Amino acid sequence: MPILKFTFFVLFFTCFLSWSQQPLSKKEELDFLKQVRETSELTKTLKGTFLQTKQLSFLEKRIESTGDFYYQTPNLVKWEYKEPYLYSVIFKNGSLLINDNGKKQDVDLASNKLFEKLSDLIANSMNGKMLTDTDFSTSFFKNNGEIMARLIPQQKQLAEFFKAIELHFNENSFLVGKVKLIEQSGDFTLIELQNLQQNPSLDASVFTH
Amino acid sequence: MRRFLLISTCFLLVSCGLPLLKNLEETGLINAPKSIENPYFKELDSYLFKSSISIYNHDLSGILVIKKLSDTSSRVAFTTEFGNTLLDMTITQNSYEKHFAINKLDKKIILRTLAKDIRTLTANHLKTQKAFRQGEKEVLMANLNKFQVYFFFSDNQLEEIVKTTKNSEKLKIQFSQDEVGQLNLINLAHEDIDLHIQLRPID
Repeated sequence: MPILKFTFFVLFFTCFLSWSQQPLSKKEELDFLKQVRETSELTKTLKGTFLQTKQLSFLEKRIESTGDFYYQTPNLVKWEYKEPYLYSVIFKNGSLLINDNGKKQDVDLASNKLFEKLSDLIANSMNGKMLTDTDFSTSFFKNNGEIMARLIPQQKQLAEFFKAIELHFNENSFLVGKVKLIEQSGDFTLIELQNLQQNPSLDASVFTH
Repeated sequence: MRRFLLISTCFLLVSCGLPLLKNLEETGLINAPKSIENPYFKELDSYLFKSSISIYNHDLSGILVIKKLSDTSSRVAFTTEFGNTLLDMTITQNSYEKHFAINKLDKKIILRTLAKDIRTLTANHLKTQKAFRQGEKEVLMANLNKFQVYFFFSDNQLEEIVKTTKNSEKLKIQFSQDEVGQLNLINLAHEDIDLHIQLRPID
């Protein structure tokens, strides 16, 4: 009965998490936004690793991938998968550079628009701009040393892909630590940022194809 | 005139024949297995692939998830590397049910083609209809809906699947192994449309 057990634990923890989440007061919200803005103004570069977990309702196991990420203000992002496959994407000056295990390309068929949105999403999560983006209806919660912003897309184009996006910020560093992309079906992708370094020096070659 | 018609008819019949059959020598079913086992999809399990799709010079890559539900049905999802689901459908022996598709992929021709390809790729235990030899290779033929599907085995290893109509080849699926015999690439190529799909298994 591992599935039943798993379902029970998921339900239990979902309920537990929902109970323990408290909405921020208006004052707490304004203080938090100010802190995030100040942190992002001080953050010129970021570097770290990520663990990505995809959950599909029909799949017992989760799909995991890991890699490195790099960010340079205002909107330069490199997302580099290392396991279980080599695949990197650089969001640069409104364009998208993909390196798929050595095969390089600049555009993508069906997911091009999606990747544009993802580019904004990743960069704006890092610099905190997403929290005040009017394309989303945003509410804030606190829980166990972190603050979570839940963003509901207001644009049809983005709503096609996401029911909600949750950004989890560390209460002390005011940097984003987890991003959860929830689809209309309830399936989700969780991206956990780890080994975060604030303002490391990044070689220009990091953002070249 | 009658002779001309006869020659033309013979020519037409010959040219309509399946080229694939020309190199095959039919051996009869006595020593052939009753059903055809697809060793790469024999378990009712989940299979993950890093996928590249090339269609009329457009490239699309992502993760293909196939969960086998029975010998001839499966649940299939295609996501970007970032995890966003682009397509989610259940494929049965004769049909498919779409659970989700982004607007760009939500077209009958795309969904139907993908369903047919995955049905051919993953079908297991199809009833053997004919058996052939091609040199050292054993070739078994089964029917799948209105198509004939030829399975090419070399040293009991499935090397290739070719799906045909009575007159023409439609889809060729090739399986490649690494040095230790592990499947490391599946290549699907259509004969009548410019569509190629490469699948690399992910552990």
